[in-house]
Amino acid sequence: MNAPLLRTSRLTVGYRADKPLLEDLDLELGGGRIAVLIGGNGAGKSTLLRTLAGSLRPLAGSISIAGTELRDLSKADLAKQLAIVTTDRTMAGGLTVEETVAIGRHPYTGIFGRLSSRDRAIVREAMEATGIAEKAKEPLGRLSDGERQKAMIARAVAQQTPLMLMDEPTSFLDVAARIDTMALLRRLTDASGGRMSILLSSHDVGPALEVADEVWVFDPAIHTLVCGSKDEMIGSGAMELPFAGRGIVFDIRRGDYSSYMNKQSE
Amino acid sequence: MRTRIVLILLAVLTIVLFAGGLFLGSVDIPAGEVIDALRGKSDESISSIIVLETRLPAVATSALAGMALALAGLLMQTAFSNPLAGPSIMGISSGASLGVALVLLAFPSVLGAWGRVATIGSAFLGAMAVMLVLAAFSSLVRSSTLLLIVGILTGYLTSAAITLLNFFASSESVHSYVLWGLGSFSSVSLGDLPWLTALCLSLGAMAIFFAKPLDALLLGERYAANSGVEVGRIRTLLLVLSGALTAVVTAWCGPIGFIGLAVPHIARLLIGSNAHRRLIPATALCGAATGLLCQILSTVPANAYGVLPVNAITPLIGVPVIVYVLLRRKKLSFT
Repeated sequence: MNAPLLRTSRLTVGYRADKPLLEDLDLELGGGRIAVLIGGNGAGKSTLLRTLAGSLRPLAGSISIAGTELRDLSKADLAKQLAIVTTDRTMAGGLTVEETVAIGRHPYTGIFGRLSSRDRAIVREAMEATGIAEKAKEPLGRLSDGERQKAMIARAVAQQTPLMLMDEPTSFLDVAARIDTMALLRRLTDASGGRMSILLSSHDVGPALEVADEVWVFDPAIHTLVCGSKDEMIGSGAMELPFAGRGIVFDIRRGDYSSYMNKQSE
Repeated sequence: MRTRIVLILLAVLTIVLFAGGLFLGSVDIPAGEVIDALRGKSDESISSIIVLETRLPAVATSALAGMALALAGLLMQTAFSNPLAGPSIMGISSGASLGVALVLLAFPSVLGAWGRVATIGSAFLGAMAVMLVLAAFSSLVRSSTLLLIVGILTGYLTSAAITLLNFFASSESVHSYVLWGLGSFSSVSLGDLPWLTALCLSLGAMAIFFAKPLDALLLGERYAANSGVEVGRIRTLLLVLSGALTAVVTAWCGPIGFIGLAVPHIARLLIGSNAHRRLIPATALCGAATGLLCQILSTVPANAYGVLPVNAITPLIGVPVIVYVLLRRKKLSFT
């Protein structure tokens, strides 16, 4: 395994110091790997991702990416360390795919955002890598949900960061686009030659597990994350921790959750 | 390519309307005399005085005010992520009016250059006060409609304060305040024109420095922050700049409705894009053209009462645009 690319040390996250959602996390994510966060609503998936992305201060502890401490980095320098993909609503329907992807170069360009020929080449490569290059001149507003999400992933790729954080990147997509997007994440990570890793949260456990190397599950009982390789986690039964007591089991053959009732009837 | 053609056409239209404003008016002046006046040939005649001292300042003011308000509206729409944001509808103009009312009604004796400085300064403070309320609420409420309602309600509160000031003021100052409040591009003297021009152009030019963070803000707060934008600081600067643009125009012309809200939408429809590097110049030119058109429409129906209030004209242009945008919001895909 490569040297850890993302590392946290005794990280505590939450909105209020007297009510931390997760405590004393010592997380590690190696280069070229995909980790999937699994947890129920309100468990703190988004809170953890926001904290790692620097938009929420940690209650305690520290975060480093590729050896760089995130604390005290300016927004522009932070943007060179990590890129995000969300499903936030945007007002960017009037930007073309190319213009949107070019926003990924903002941390590297001057005050007017003028792109160098190198920036242009990186934008083009990002669009090609995500399979959205033929829509380069289309406004975002005319794309399907799946295509728009590819454009947002291309924006993150163009940012050329060691880490990508994705908060429910497939939540508004249809089934084909979900599977397609997950496979895209795998290709991007493999193509980086170990220089880029992805941490994503997803309710869409099946397709996410297909491409994941690691699984990080929330254990709400003790405010922590249980982490391990996909096989370890499935083998140890840790997959059922987030939904303990809710009549949900992890179906090993399907690689997804199912109801306790189904299991019994088989 | 489309942007370049639209910008050229808008520039031509602005020049044509500017000339139109000089040739047309509530008094008929033959074209030859207008040209003579502009070339400084007949500086004693009545038509020369009308053209140079009435029409020229009013026409220039309408172009500058239209540009400034349109830019203020564009900056607010992106800063608040709200396609219905604008200086008048969200109460910024009312805030500026309250500032002006305080000077005009409470200290009617402040005159001359200091009166101007006091009016602009208090208009700016009033605009910023409302802007602060909106900024505070925009971090609390996510819904753009709710924010709009807060802006409208703040507008009512400032109007109530203005009504109170009117109630206790002398009748002369009330009269001058009411006239100012109707909105007019015609009240700027030739002497004030360089000041208005310098302020509007310098503040307007600052907008272009925000094109990059504005584009990032279109993607929403989280994406903008992830692109290296210090979201809080940039948003504050945008609100100060749009407040200043609104305050300058309001101090001289009164609260002008709808231009700030509608023109950015017209500009988006014309260039078919949201990228601010192109949208800012298009909005500026389109605002100037719209201001000029309103000025011409308010002076042409000559009557015993003189020039119509601008605020009787702007809704005729603004309201249809807003209704169109609301109805086609999904399909237009610019919002």
